[in-house]
Amino acid sequence: MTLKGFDITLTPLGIQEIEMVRNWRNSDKVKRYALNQEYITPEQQLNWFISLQEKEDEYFVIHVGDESVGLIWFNKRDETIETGFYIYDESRQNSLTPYKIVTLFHDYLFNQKKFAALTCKIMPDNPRAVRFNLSLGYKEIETFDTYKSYLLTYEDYKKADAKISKLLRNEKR
Amino acid sequence: MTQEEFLIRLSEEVQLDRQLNVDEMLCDVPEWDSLAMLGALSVFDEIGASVEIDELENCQSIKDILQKAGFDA
Repeated sequence: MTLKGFDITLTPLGIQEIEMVRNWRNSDKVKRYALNQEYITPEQQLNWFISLQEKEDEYFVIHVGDESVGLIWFNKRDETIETGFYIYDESRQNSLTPYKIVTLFHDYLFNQKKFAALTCKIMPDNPRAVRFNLSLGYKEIETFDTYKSYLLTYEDYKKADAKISKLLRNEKR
Repeated sequence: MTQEEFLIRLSEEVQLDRQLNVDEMLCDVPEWDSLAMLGALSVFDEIGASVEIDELENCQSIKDILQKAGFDA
């Protein structure tokens, strides 16, 4: 399932891309905000990719135009859907690209997959991610030693998405 | 809306506890992230000014943004 919207394309992660993603994930700028700080070897990456075939988790490579810029995913554990994403290309991080990506992805998760709610985990030393996710309608629900957990209900998603989608789709008059 | 009012609204949308000033470069505003960009779009929408996303993303300064909004900054 390829997702397209704005100038964004989300394509299911393929085996030919796992080395690129492994390098992204092991980079300091991505790893510093990950809960698992361990270095990932090529063998571990391959085993992880193979394990996805037995799960309902979905991972997508984020493309802006022809450029691969990051990864977005959800993990399904019982009835809990946990999401995450990172943009490796730092030049895109302070643009509207993150909103375009998440708008496209949330539409898929809520309106196609029909999930009732999403969760995410954010480390407290990542205030940019906290601000971003609060603006999407996520609410803080629990605090742990190394991260805080956030919940986005369908109702809160609809409220936030109504404003965000309108702004992103506002054509020049 | 005056230029001053636009700056006040923009500062609110960026969630700053101070007011942005016309001479600031965006790279010097630590809070200038994707949320700030969305906030800027929101203020444009409020005043009925239109801007292409690319144009807004190419702005380097508050002055650039004001000019896109139609002010003689």
